[in-house]
Amino acid sequence: MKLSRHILPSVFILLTGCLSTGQAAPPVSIEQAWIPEAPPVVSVLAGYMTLKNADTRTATIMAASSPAFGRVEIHRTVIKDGMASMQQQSSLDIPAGQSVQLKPGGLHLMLIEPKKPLKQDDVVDVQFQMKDGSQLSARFTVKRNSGAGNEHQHHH
Amino acid sequence: MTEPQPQSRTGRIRLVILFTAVSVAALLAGAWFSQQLGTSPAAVPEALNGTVFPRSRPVPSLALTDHNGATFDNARLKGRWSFVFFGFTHCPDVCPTTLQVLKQTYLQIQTANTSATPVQVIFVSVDPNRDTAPILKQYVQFYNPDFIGATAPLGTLTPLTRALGILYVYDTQGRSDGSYTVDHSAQILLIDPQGNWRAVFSPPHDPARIVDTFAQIRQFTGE
Repeated sequence: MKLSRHILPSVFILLTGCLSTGQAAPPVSIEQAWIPEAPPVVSVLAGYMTLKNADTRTATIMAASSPAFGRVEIHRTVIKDGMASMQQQSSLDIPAGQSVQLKPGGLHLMLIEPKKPLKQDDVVDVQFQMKDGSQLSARFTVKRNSGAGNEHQHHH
Repeated sequence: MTEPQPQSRTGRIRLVILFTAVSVAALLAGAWFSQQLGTSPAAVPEALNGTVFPRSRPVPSLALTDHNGATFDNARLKGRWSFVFFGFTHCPDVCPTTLQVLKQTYLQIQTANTSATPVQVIFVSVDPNRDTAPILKQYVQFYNPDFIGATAPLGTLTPLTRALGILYVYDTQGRSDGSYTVDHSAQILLIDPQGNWRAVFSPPHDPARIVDTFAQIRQFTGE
């Protein structure tokens, strides 16, 4: 009797917790979200991050937005025969159990029309609309790009 | 039956003469080209193959305007090495990444060798309608106050980029709001202190590799 009196409210809290977010902990997590500091005059910046999908199903980002920018798009830089082009992605899949890296020279967020010039250590929030109807949010930090921008290549 | 007809024998001789003439011409042409291109193995150190031209190539007449509104002509290439990159400021990924590489490269070259022939970095915008001189100035100087931004009307730019093997294509990506991006070559060109095109670095760029290759080019050219 005593036990149920203690457990029931907990179960209730747990249930409401689940209900309010729609689902349990989001299966997709975002790490190392950053924006390279750019000349204050630019009207387009890049955003990079690592997306991890712990779920057993593919997660798909359908759209992105941020209060700090007029528009957010997902693009992939493709260099073919020395020619660089940006290909807008209508969606971005994160396969089950895998991670997808947005990094210089590859997939990136195109952050268009910043509301104000961004400086080192500024933080901006970006929301992602997922295909299953859920929403994912990440905090991006503006960082001075100290390395080559493709630091990962040094370790390979 | 087996005896060849006189005409066909003459025909065969003609064929042999033609074949010989073509072969000799091909050989001569080959020799001439290899001399022109200097493809003999000793011409360029193996490590520089594919980056350095055996013979420098002329840079066409330049009529650019720099970020201060001053003329940037061929005279401004003389007496220094120039790293040249073509891009545009509305380019969020490739251009900032490459300028970051050039910033690192420039710093490393400056600190390593202060008495050598000077080095300059030039960012040429292929988007002159949006990249005005004041915008270019703020853009390049964010990376290094020594960097030079330059551009010219498209009618002036196109013959230049074509001669330097640089391509650019305006891409509206199906947008109706008038916005566009520019697909462009991502190579970094190296101009020698005589003002001639000497080498081309292909992406992906890495400062350490460029610095190392540049040191070898300096050694090879004696500049």
